[in-house]
Amino acid sequence: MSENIIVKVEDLTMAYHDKPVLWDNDVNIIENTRTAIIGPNGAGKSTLLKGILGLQKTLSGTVEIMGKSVKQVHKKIAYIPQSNSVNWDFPTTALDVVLMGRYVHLGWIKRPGKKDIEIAKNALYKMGMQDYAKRQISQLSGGQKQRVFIARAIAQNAEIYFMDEPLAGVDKNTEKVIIDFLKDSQKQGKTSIVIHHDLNTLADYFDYLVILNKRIIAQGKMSKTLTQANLDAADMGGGFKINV
Amino acid sequence: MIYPSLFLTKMSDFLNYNQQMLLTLIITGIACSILGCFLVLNKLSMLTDALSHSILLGIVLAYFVTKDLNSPLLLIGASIFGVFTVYAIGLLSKTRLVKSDDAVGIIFPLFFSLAVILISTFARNVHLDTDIVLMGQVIMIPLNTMTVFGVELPKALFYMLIILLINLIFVSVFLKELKVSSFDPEFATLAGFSSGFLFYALMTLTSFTAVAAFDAVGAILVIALFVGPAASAYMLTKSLKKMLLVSTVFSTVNSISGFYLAIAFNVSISGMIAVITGLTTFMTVLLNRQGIITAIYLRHKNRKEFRLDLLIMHLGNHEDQQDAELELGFTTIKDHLYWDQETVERRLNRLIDQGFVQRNHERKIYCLTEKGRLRYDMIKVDYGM
Repeated sequence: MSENIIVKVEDLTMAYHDKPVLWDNDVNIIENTRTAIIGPNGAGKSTLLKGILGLQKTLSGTVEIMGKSVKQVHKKIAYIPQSNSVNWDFPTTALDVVLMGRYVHLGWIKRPGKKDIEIAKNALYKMGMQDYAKRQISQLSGGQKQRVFIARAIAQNAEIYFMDEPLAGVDKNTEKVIIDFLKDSQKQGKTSIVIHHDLNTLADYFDYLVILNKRIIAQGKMSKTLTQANLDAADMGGGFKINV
Repeated sequence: MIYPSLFLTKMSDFLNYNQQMLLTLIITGIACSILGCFLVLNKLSMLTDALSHSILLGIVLAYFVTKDLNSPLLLIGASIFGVFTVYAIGLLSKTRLVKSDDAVGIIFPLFFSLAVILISTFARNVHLDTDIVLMGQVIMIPLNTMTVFGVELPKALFYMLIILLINLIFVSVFLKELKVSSFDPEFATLAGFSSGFLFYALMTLTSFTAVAAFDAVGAILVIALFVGPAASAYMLTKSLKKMLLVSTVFSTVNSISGFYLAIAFNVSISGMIAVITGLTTFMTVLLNRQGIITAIYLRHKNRKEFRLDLLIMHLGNHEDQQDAELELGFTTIKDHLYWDQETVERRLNRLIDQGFVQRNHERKIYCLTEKGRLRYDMIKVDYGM
């Protein structure tokens, strides 16, 4: 398999107030991989995703996705934020949130039609959430909320998924559904970039790895990148030993 | 009275002054509450407070230019100033030297007090009264009329009708965009829906609505009209369309009841409507699905159900045991549950009515029915046993 770079980040520096969060980072994400981003708390993982997607200001650097700017390819990018980043008391249903994935293709003013609703229902079905379509989102559990978010990305029919800690606070069952979804997507030629926090499952769930601690510590194939030396360099080695 | 001209109709021919006032209030309320829904969803309620006060400075400044209190330019000037206030607050909080709440608290008292000083120094002879600004002059609505297409109607009513129409068109055309950007702004931005455009469009309309409503109902009631019905509807509904609809119902009920109560007690009309708005919102806080009173009721109901579950557990546990005659006996069961005879019988009778329990007259004990045994298994799962 040739290694096509699908997301190319060069010299990315980002700051919060006057404090730099990310220092001059080059990141290459390989097409058709399941890439995990790991790093200690405050390493700038979420900031990196937001910087790549143009949701937060960057001080320097360029981002190319499929050789183009984010704005040019935004229909092919699905962003799945941390599930606590939105207002779950919002008066809307699970199906309605999934339907938002179709808005990307509809553009301004045009309303979703029957076909869009069909696609959204299918996406819910893929996440095992078909029975919750009419449920108000505040009545969903943590895992169900995460599934709804992923169903929204499925409805969007994107090529690249950016996920911010999709496995945080979800039940075992949902975790399996999400990982199966990532593996399935890879078979369909898609790319996932996922912020992950559990070192125990890292090598099972993902095949590429980016280790970040304000700077890129290491990146590449899981087998070569997940080493004790790299984890130690990122201040993540404490208490965790790699069994090879 | 029949008006001499065929082409000129007077609204006062078919609606009396009270009805004209009430109609204006209802329309103002609806125009405010549909925008209010998005203000509440975006947590912008306090910005409305700032906006409704600082437009006074806009009105004063526009008056110095136009020298005419009735000019429509006044409306436009003041509205633009309202948007400028929002922009200034945004700018100040972007410096990160002050928090955004603080920025609101710095900008709007500054603009409002500047306006008060300007009025009292340079516009003393003009009919621009700070009391009226706060409380409005509902009573004057029918007296200040204008003629549109041959119909003479209150000016405030005409302006509010136009504003209502604009707001309705805005919300129905951009419903999808407003929904996604209020729910998940980052997703909306990525999906190509500029949240900046929607924010300023919403703020511009809020500003126009506040300026137009201000004249009739005053700065305080305007805030109540924007926030109260929307906040109530937010607690009760599970879809955005229903929230919009329910907020207009709240707003209309508040206007009608506030209006007639004000007349009955001979008090300020806008003041009374604001009081009623506060009361209905407060009632919703108590009575909604997750409200305080509802919670007490549900807790009581749960406790009752828990006792019945306990009884089924007791029956299920001892039915096949040696001590069943003692534990479940008609007269002895009470000693093992530590309940008095009357309570035990009342609860057992309810379970018998529901078909969970039956009397075994041979052994003189209570025991579970088939249905009861299923329930017993479910309870064990539910409570993790």
